[in-house]
Amino acid sequence: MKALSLLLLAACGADRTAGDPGNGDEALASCDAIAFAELAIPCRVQVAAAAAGRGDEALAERACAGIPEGPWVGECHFRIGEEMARAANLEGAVRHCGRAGVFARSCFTHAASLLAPSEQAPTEPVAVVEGIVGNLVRVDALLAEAGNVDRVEARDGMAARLWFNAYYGTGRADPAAARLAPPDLSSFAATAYALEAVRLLFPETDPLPTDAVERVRASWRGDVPPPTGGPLANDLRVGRYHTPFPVPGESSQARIPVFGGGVRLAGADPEEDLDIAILEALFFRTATPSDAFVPWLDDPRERVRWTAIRLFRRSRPEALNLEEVLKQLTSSADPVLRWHAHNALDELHPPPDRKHRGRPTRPAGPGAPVGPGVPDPPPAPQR
Amino acid sequence: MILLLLCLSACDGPRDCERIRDEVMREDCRFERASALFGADSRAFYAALEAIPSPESRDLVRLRLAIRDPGAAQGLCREVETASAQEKCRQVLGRPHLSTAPRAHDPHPPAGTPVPASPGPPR
Repeated sequence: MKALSLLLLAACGADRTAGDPGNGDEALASCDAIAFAELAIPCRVQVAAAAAGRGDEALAERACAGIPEGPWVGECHFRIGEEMARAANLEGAVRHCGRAGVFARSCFTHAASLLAPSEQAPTEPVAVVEGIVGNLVRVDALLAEAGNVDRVEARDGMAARLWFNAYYGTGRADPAAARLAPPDLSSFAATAYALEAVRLLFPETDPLPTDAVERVRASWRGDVPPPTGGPLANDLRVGRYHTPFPVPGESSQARIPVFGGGVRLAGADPEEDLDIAILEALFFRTATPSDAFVPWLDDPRERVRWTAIRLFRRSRPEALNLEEVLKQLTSSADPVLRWHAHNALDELHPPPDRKHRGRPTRPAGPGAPVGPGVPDPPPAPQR
Repeated sequence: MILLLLCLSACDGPRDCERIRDEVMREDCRFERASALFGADSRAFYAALEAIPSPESRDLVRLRLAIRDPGAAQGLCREVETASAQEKCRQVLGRPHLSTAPRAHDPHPPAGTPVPASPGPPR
């Protein structure tokens, strides 16, 4: 036997049996036939992921169980967690992410980004809320059994996604369910409602009206009928997001996770929280220019201003001169706005020492990615 | 395993692995020789790797090391020579968190020391 054939032998059974769901045990057997123990490990991970995607948790378990102790055991459960999330299996995803060891945090973040909406999800507002609350009770119970996991962060990620799935892309932005959300879920609910309301009211191809925030507020209050429109396929339920970055002064503020691994500030009261949610939703709408956030930079409420400056500097300008606005903000009375302005100007014109190093202070400038994909975990949110 | 241990105790260097007639045991011998040097003596590791006569066998060593120690995968995978190994490497490199796992097989860096991705070729 030549070494080449040994390498080829290492081709995993999960590859060979792709598209043949009945052959799961054969795939696992082909991993066992690999002559070198190390090469059998990724093979087993592939078999586990493929099995989880087909709903064959027992085979997925057996595949992981044959991996020697170490990081690949965690990776194996991580892949199962991801695939179960893709298959809308919330409890399975949480259970396996809880067993992902050192990768548990990443697993929960990925699973929360990937969790598909359930096909049997209710649409009646009370049932929507009861469904989400019930799911979170089960998540809490599973997290209580998990190992070394930040349970609050993991639960909040799932809560954000469950509300996202209840609204975004459904073609209905009836605020009734979000308004019924219990207090600990109200920010998640408002975010999700705002995302769908913005999508339905302001299509990407249309110019954004200057009264966009007020129109979403009016819909929330019930002054106008709830926006409706065409639903989106699950794989198209994506939008613009930016990688979270630490901002001095914000670290002690209450924040919640949002789409794409990001976080947003929670408002001090429901009205303020809704306005922050709407601004975040406008950013999620890829076509929204920086200009839309300018009126909110001098809002009397600090969390609204701080949200606006963060989204302003992460968007592309349309008519305004972004650099001019940033320069004006360097003399703002608000130290957080001043910090953002200086930091953003540094990004536009890196100081010479940083140019030489070629490393920005943080990733992603204006024109942030459209996602969510499978992000890294955000800084730990605080409630 | 017993045969391999006997071989390892009897052999002095990577060239002795070439005397082993069984293909799998010969690859195991090459791997054990190289992996003992990996992370400990970069120059000797690369010498052992270069002494392995075929690119497929050299890649087998690199792949096995990369899977055993995903933190070193980036450097090892950068040097693979065959398309088959490149494909296998993608499964490790495509999961960047793997490289953040504690390194169980490298006793040399003290706790908390930043770990290089790979020893890199000797200069």
